[in-house]
Amino acid sequence: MNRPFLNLVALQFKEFFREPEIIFWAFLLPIILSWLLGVAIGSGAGGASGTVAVIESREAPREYWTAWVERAKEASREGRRIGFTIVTRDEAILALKKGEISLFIEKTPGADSIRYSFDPRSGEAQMTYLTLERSLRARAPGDERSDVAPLRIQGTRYVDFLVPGLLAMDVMSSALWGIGWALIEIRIKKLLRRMAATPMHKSMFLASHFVTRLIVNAIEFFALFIFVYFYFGVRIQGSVPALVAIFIAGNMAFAGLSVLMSSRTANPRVGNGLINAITFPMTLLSGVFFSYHHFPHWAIPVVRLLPLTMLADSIRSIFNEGAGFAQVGIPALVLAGIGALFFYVGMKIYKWY
Amino acid sequence: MISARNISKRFKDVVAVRDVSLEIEKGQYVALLGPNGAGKTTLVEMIEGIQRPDTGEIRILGKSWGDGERHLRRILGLSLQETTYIDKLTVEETLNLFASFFGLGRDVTPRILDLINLTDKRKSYVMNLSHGMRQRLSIGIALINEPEILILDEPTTGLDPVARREIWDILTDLKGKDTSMILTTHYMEEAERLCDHIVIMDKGSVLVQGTLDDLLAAHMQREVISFTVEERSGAEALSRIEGALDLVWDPKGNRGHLYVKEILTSLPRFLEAVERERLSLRQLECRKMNLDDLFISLTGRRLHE
Repeated sequence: MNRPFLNLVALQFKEFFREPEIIFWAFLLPIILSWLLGVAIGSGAGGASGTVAVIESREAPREYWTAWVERAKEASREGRRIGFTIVTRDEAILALKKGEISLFIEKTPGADSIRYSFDPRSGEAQMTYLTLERSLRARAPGDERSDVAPLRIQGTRYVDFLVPGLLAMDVMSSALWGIGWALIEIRIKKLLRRMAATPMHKSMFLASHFVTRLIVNAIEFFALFIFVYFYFGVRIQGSVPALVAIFIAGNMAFAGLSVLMSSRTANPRVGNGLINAITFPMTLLSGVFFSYHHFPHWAIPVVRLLPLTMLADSIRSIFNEGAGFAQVGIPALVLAGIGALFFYVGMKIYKWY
Repeated sequence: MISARNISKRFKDVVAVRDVSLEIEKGQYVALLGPNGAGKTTLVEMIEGIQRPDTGEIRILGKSWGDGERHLRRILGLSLQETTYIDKLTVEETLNLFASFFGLGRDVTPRILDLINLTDKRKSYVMNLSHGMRQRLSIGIALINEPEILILDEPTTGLDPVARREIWDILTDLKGKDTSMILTTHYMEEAERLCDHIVIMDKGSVLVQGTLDDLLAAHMQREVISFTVEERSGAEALSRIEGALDLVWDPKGNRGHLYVKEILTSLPRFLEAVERERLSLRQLECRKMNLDDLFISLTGRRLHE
């Protein structure tokens, strides 16, 4: 049989795999990026900032930590830039997995000292630890002993934070370039109008781009996951079906956005600019590489509305927090809804000729 | 078969097509002849349903684009200007793809490959084809659904004479199969050779139209003395020789075209006038009037300008 839909999907695969450079950019680059950031940046510099959790317990109740935080803030100017939150140990672990904090402090069990717990590969956590230690020691030397407990808990390392963000970013970039740019290019070549001047179903034509990109993204996703599984020991702690659902929903959102973005322009410079205008802010804001909790508090609710934030947070919660449909069901529905809406509007205003 | 009545189309402050009417019968080959910017492409794109006219009505086999788009898409075969097919798809894969859009199987592809003489190149990527081969592929795509109406927008522009003749041969072979064809071109030889009805357009309007015989009878009973002189001053006297009908100058250079009733009697008088006015003659050509001359006599410009 000579089915148009299968032909269109096959055509895009042929275009994709007949360009050897694409294999590098699509598959190897995310792996290299995860390796570079997971290994190299983990030991690099970072600023002392953000929020530190202190753990409330029987030995160290809330009043103890309130006084301790006072001292830490008075000790130095850097100390005043750090925010503190008094939480339980479980809450601190969850906050670490979400990237809301990079370090927590607790009273060392059975000893008169405090313990800093963080991923030793995280530059930000190291700087925060050193800043606190240096300023507290300078103010009251020998006042209180401390030790460091490197975090070994699955999902609390920087690479655990990074990989879901990279997977989400990959879905976004792949859709915008693989669908959005591809459609603009077909329009520039005047091939779109030639195809549209046949009895071909236009929605089927766009759907074939979505399906092709979904398959390519799944392969890219799997390739990166296999690498981090064996190299970094990254594990999926939550529901795999929920991961599949949020992955498809994320692809829908960005495919819809790509159709809308490509709906009118036939100018490569405008197309390039549009893609950068969409991807660049989201990559910076959506907590792909670093937690968005470092942004001002008023900005965080806005950042959470971005499709990339929803996708990255959902994948992260499945990977690191053991989340399932109960936690990611709503974001998945919202992302799928965004995709359907953008697709519909894009189809309505699409410039075929 | 195709009826376009009082079609006009404007782009911002430019009138691309102005009140054009056209009737095309079944099996007729029609050439839209005119220079760049004449409105040929805009007119055929409105017939193809790619653009909508601002005013007027187009009906194809009794259907308009508003009520019969899916049906019309099935019976039309198009070759649009400047289409670039996918570089890394083979000729065969490209034809298969377009066949599938018409609900056709892959079994139609060998026949088309044979028709456009690309069977040997069926496994070649489009990017490796010459310009002429790509144009043949474009015509093959237009023919894949055995269209009732074939619309080709400048299919031979930019091709060398050999590649152009290959396309003419393909189109000549199709004649007599009840397929109607509209061909836009600015090559008068192409229009004369392939088409039996000729529409000459300029600046969005139809200047003249009719069968080649009608046009010859009505406008081309004259003969032409084309010449180039060193200086134009004094050359206007050439238009006053006995038997001269009209003198038209090319906008650039000093090339003139003197339309006469009969070269045999006018040429000696022409040469006498050249001598009398002390004109320095650089070039001289005598011939029967053709479509290019007709266009010059109607507009004062050549088709290729």
